[in-house]
Amino acid sequence: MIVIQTEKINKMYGEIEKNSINALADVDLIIEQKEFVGIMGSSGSGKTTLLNILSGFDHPTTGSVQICGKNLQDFGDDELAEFRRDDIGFVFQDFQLLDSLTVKENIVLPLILAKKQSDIIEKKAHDIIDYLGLNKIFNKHPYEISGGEKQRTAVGRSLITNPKIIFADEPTGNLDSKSSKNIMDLFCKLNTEKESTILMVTHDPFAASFCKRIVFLFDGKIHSIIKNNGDREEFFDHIIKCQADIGGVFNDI
Amino acid sequence: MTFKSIVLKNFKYNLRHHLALILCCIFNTSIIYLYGLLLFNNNSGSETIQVIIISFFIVLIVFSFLFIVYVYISYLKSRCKEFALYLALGMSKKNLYKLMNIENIFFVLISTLIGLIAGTIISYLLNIVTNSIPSLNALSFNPNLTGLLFTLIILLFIYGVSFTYSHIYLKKHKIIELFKDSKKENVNKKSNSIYFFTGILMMISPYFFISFTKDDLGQILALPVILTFLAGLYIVISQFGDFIIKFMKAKSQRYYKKLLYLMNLSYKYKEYKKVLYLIAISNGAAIFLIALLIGAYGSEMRKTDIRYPYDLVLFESVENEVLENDLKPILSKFTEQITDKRQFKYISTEKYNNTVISDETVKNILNYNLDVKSGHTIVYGTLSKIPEKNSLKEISITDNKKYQYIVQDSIYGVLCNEMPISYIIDDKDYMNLKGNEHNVHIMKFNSPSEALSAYSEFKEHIKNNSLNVQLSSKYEYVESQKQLYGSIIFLLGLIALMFFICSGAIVYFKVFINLDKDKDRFFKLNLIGIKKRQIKEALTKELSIIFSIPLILGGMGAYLWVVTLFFKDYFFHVIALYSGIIVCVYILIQLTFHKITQKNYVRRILELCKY
Repeated sequence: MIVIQTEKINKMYGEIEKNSINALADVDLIIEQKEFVGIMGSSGSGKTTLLNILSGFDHPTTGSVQICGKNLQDFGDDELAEFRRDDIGFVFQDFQLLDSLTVKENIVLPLILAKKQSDIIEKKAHDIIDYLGLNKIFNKHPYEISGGEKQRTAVGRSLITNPKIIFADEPTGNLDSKSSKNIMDLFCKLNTEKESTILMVTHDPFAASFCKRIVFLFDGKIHSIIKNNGDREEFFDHIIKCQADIGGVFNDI
Repeated sequence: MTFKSIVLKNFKYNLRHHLALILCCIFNTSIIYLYGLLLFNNNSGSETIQVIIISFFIVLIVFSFLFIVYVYISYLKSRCKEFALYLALGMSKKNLYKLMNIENIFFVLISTLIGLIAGTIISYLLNIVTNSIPSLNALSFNPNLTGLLFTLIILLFIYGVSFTYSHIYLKKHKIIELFKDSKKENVNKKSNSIYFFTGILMMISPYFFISFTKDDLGQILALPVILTFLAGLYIVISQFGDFIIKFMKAKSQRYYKKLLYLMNLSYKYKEYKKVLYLIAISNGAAIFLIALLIGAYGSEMRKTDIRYPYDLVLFESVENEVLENDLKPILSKFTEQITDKRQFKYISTEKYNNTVISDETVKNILNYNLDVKSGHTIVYGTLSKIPEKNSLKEISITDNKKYQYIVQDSIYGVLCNEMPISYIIDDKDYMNLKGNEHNVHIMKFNSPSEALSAYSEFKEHIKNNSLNVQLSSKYEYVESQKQLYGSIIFLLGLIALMFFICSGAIVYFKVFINLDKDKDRFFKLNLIGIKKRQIKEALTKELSIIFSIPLILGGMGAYLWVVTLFFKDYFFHVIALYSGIIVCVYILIQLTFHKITQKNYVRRILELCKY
């Protein structure tokens, strides 16, 4: 089943034909259910723009985005908010947790926004906290826990509504290597055990090596796509090679 | 690009904060200036008004001081990160002080100048008002140098303290501390419901204390009682957020339903506790002053009818018969207008204005239906210390003529004008009394204006001919009360208006200074799918709870103080009703102002939350 399908999406910034910047050019992308896809590319390649368009934060200049058969352009502001709340889970680089709420309250926030019954909220919170191993910290506030724990909380929040797809924007960007590995293991676990569809934007080849498929963007276009055949070390090498092929793009590695 | 241009750019970027501070200072300057003018212009000659102006001025200075120091400290803390950044980038503290001094001098000059101009314009308008209303003629706001100098000295003191504090604050804190978010410190503080209930108890206990203790003890302990109340109010405000959350958490369905606007309540009540306390106190003070005066005025006007049952009363010694001789021409002139005219005799006691009257006089002339037993007395009075029923009352007519009676009854009221306490005794007992007997002529007129004009003519004639008689007029008393209360209510109105505006300004200042934090919070919620309607709802409810609770607490506290102070008053119900209406109207006006602020704020947040 296709979860995301884009058709020739273009995104231009500035006035058309007047110094405009083409952030995305004719991007066609299909993501199937249960896939774990990584989007890689250098700064300015269009990764974040693509993620913003796919998640409904931004509109493409031309082209269309369909998620589970629904065309995002047809949604109004409130419908988009509902769609983000119920059908999409987000994990951000800077966690985006509310300091005034506890870990548990942060996790159940989408359900509160959806005005769910408290017994449903309690049950789901209990399941997720158990699943993510947050039992010891669920009553703490975000400023009392580590970066890795914060990101696990954010993952918990993204899972609580059983979304059709989870978008992760540089989820390991603010974490040390150990916490990064834990979070990526968690994503893999979600993908295999819970059959979650995940789309992750990342710079980090180590994090990307956990994906099943990587889409490389370059200057707003899809440059290449590589697949993981099950051997993560081999896939990691492949990713490095692809980055080198793009050339001059990943000088930071 | 130089450092100077960066500082200038930053200044422009933070204009919202600077502007809020300048506006508060302008407002403060003009109010102090207005009161300064009033203080050095007062030509009423009335000691009461002079005392009231001075006491209000002291209240005003104390409040202005707290207000400006608070606003300035909030402003300073909101800029800590900016200062920390300058220091981290290599600016010396000496240069930072220099930068702050330049900014401060700029603020002071601008706000003082505009404040004085605004004060002069308002004083001109107020002068028009006071000149056109006869009862306010005593109050004048004419510009004068002493008032101006006085204002400048007070402002210098207030700003001096604020700026010294800012220097000490920066000196004491390291860069890393300035960078640190104060939010976390506040959230970490432990709270307990016991504190909340202790606070409530401390707020309520003074009312019981004042209501049920003897007057003398109440006066001695007045200050500790007020301090207990104020401390209680502070504890309640600082614990309110946590208490609400604990209460809501008792039922998870209720808690989750309200979580959107409860989530920041605890933190905000802790972070805002000082400002909320200031709001509660300032609104409470405003409400207390207005309600007290309106209540007292209402009660006083009602009492007038009881204390002054007759339009015009003339007292003379029995031998003189001035009314029938010297004043006869005036009396004849008003014969048509006089609807009732009677005369009776009484004996004055040693105590000023206390009178002894025979029960036959009261029955036959004043038409009261009563009968006093021999050796007994019925007491009529409006003072709080009327002798109790069945007690023994000694009446001294002169130093060596003292008579004892058993109090047969005590009744609230007077028999005639200017007789706060009258002892009615048996006619035979009255005959045995040896003392100065006086004649009283009581008159009623067709209308108050006729009574007043007759009073003026009698008064002038008595004065010109130096006659040994005393006059009392109900309407003359009413007029003098109106004159006195008119001035006091006007002054109180000004003070209350200041409290009202200050409290509104603080809300506005505090809310908008935290715009970025709220923007950040709702931006995060927006990412996970909150709707605009939900943001609006959550913010409106959150701000309503935060700012209306201190207002209501302050208002209720003030109301309780007013009713407690008048608890033993005969017209307690009038005072309670009048001041109750004032409290409701005030709270409604202030809530309307909060609503406008909230609406504006929510609109700004929604604009900023757009992805």
